[in-house]
Amino acid sequence: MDFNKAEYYLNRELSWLKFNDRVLGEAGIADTPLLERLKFVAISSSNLDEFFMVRVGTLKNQQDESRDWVDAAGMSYEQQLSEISRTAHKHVKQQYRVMKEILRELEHDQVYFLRPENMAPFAVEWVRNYFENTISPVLTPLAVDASHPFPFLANRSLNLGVVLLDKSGETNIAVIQVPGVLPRILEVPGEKNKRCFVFLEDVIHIYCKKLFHGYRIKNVTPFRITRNADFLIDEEEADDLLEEVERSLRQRKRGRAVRLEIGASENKVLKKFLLSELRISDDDLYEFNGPLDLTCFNKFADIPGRDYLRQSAIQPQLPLELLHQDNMFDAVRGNDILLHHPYESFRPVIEFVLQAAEDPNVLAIKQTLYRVSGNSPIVRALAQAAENGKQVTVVVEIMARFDEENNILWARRLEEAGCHVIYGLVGLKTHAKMCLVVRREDGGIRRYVHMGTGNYNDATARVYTDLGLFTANDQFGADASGFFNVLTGYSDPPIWNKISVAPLGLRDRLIELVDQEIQFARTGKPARIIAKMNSLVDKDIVAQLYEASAAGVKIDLIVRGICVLRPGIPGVSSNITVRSIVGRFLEHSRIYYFSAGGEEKCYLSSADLMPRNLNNRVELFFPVETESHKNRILDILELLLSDNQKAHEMKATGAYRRRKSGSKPKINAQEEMVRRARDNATSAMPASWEVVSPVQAYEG
Amino acid sequence: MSKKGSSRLFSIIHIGSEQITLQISEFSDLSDLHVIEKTSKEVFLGEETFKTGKISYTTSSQLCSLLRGYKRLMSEYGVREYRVIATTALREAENQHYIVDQIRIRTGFNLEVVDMLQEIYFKYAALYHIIRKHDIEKPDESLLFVDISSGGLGFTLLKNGIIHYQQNIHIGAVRIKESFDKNERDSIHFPQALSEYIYSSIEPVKEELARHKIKYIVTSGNENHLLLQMLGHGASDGMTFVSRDEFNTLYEQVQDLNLPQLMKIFHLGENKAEMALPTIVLYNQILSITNAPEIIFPDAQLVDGVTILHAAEKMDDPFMMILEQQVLSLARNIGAKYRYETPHSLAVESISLKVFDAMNSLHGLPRRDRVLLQVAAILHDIGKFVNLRRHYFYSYRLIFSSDIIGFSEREKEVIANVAHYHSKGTPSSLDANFTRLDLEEKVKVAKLASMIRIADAIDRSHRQKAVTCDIRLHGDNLEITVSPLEDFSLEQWTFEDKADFFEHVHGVRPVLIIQSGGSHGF
Repeated sequence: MDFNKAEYYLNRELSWLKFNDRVLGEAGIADTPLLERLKFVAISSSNLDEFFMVRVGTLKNQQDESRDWVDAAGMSYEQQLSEISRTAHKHVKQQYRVMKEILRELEHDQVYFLRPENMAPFAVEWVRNYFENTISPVLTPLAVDASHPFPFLANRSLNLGVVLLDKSGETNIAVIQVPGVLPRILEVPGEKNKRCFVFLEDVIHIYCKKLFHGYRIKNVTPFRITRNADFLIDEEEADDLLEEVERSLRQRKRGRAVRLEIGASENKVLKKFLLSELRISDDDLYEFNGPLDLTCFNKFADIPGRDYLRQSAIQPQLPLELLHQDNMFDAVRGNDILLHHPYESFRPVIEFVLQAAEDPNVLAIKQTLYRVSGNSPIVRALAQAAENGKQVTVVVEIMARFDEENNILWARRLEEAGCHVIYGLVGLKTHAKMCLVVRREDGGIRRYVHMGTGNYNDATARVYTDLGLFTANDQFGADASGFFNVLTGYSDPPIWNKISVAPLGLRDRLIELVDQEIQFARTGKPARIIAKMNSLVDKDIVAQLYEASAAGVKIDLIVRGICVLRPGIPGVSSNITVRSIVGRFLEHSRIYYFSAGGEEKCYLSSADLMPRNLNNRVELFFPVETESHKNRILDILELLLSDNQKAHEMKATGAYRRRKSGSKPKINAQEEMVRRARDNATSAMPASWEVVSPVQAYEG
Repeated sequence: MSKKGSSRLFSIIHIGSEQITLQISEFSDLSDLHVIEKTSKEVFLGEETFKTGKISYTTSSQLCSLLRGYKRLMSEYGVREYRVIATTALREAENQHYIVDQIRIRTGFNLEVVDMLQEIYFKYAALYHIIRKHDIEKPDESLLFVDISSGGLGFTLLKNGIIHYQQNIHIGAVRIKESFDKNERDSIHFPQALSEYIYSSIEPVKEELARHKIKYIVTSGNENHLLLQMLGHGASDGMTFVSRDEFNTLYEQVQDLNLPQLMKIFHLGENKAEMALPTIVLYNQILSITNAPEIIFPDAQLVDGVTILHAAEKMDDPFMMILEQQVLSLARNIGAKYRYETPHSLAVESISLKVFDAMNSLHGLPRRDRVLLQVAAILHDIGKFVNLRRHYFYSYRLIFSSDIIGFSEREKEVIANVAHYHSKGTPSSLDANFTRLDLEEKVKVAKLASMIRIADAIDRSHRQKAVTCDIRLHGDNLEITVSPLEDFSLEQWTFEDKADFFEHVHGVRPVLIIQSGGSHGF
């Protein structure tokens, strides 16, 4: 049976756009608080930005190189790009419709977005002062004429295009960059209980005539350029990787334009001018009646006050194992500890590194870092550990996309503190999440390991669902040492006790596990796979899942984002279901479960099933062996599978339908998990954590 | 560190021909010795040395950067006891001394380039340790330890705790591979040529091995993992038994395969696949010259041996003693081969050790030198096998050219020199054999030789007249009290003659005290 036919596969880009539809869908749910809904609009908008920069950028690059190539679904680059344009136009139309609806509803709660001309007189006065004193000094209008070529406008920056008539009646064009240093949304004085806001560009719009003495302003229209950010770094040739990345970052700001967003206007002069200057086709032009760049609502949703328009924050819990145990090493030595974020606190992970930094018996700390938060307590703890004389090795992935500038900063800080900072293996991104602490104890050397599905990032750990495991098991310890030795270049890959590592072996391990289920199914035994991930793109794996389905293996996939697999094709995937959970937390954990003839094997991983994860990244895949932890993970999977509020099920056509509860009780898996974590634990931190931990010093 | 457990850490770095290995172990005694960190990195040092005769600057610099990394890893565990050793690839590099120096300057490591005998001994220690743990050794059964390194092949035959035979040949897996060029290796006649080449090299040991009924061949070698993989044995902890038939089946199978086929069928990388044929042919030839029904592949490598020896020595483990006895048994076997006079040899051995022990507070020599003295005493007269005239010179030559595992080449040279000066002559710079030694070794030779001279004098007649012999230090005299059963004049005259040299070296006068009759039942 041929499982490779194009009709069995979906295009990954279109599948991603469907995911963004689901995100936007959350903005339309009437019983979700308004500011949360607005946040979903903002998220869908920033998602789309990134999609254009990375995916559309890449496709356009490749389109020039190989015209005849087609993807698994049989689509050429050209077809993909035109289909993306069509779908994205539809998507943003919906985005604006939902956004406007939310803004209208906000007015019932006395929150108003005003055009400057609709402001009360005292507000007008306030805005005029603000313009004179704050905005005007940072404005630099740029004329465009024969002696002034079209200025270089930064990626994703917001601009106003101004059409001017000079005294001789000649048409001129000027560009004003809307300053990124000022808040995009300004709160202006309102009457009584009213809270009023205006957009920065609208303020500039009404006062900009002051900038062009002697000219008549015909038209002012906002526009925004998105540039290709897909750039390559030649690591082999780079002497200093940090410098090479910095150089490329400057390049990214100047990549070729892949999208033009522009405010709707009667005047076509500016539009025509921009289209020809930026060499952009109508397909990549997006016109809006309303503000551009809706990502600004993300910050806006956090404005002080009006808390009833937001969901109350959850209190991350501590698991029972840590209840009376403030020393992480004592706790982990007794039992493996499994943490489920954000329902359970990320604090134990930070504590683990903090305590390691201060513990006199700790000899060494080794850690991978991919994306960390702004003022990361983990980075501080690692630096402190090095200053305390510990041997600290940090494997930094400098090229975690769009975080590079941030990464370079703290990588330098760690180096200065005396950490041994390495930038992973040439050509491979280090995406694995692992932290190893070597401790000298009475019984000899003992190693403590933390492995997880998410980054060592305390900020995202509050909104991403991830699983992490602490263990003092010898075999994991030896694997962890070996893993870091491979990353530091001290060792060739050894034979692992427990873990599997991409790009060497992880794919084979997965194939072996699926094959095993196929064998069970063929011999009439129950065979089941439940896999949860962010994206399923790898064609070889999909083909093997088809084979498994055809052999009778029951497969349930929980794929938050892209999924190129089509479920329910008779004879091919009739035993496969696909669903996506999009809720208040970003589903991020990667879980792979195999019934294994009753043995029940359960794995956690940093890897999605995408070619890039399995071929070009260093990823980790590790078993969860403690019976109670296995059961807990299986419970999580079953709960997600029973969700009938935030789950979207994929049909054979590739379309998603929100699951309905019908007459059954409503199940919102994420909310249920918030409840379970609370029942299962306590929110009280061990007393000593509150007092001595240096993290307090800069958390507040 | 604030707290220190009772356990110790030891780290060994081995710069081999094909890989560089770091192993860190933890122990509080030999029985709880366990590895806590092991990493290895593939290198092509052997290939480079065997082909070009030396190690290039680039390679040396890469080597240093890896060693600095290993040093870092060691400091991560707070390791203080360690050894850094190199084997064939460095041993045979013309520029060995420069490389050792570069490594010392750039990494701070004092690299020991060990010789083939030491290498074989380290591995023997590892193999024997695991054999003992698994209780494989049975009375009256012979075990043949075969060490296949990149550049050498060692045979050690053990029976009833005695090493009966030890022979080493300059033919190893990488060396064999490099002896043929790429075209030759690709030829369809290669397997045949390879067999003949190997057979001609190992044929000389055939006769000796055929005299023993061998129960197991116990092997160590870098290629063991490769072979087990090809034989379809997974990673096992400890030992894997492979029967002669099982091995022959593999041999038949690979004979007709070319490189791409080998890689495909056995899932091997190119480098591994290139090693496969020479290794299998070598094992096959070894099997063919013995009657062993089974091969044991223990999971034991050179680094394990060095670690075990270190731990055993630090912890005063009896294992050290057992190995020492085996080494001495080999010396006795070499003595027997040259028809030494057992009673005289035993008498000299016993008396010289008594002198050594009595002089403990004055000679300033480590315990290790007692073993050197012992072997010199056992073998001091074997030159008589060649010629009675100047036999001491032939003793020197025979010892010098015998393989006695357990000693480095330098130590063997000390032993040979002690034997050279066992009866007369002042060690002098006129003797080529003596000038080869460094100052410390020269003094050591003089000290040990003077002891053997005294002992030899006391059994001058080779009739073991002095049934008892008490030796103790008394003031400026070393008093040697004997109770001879018959006339002791010859010994007495000889003794006076030899005492001068002893006094000259040690500043202590040996004095012979003869207790006549008395308690000895005349």
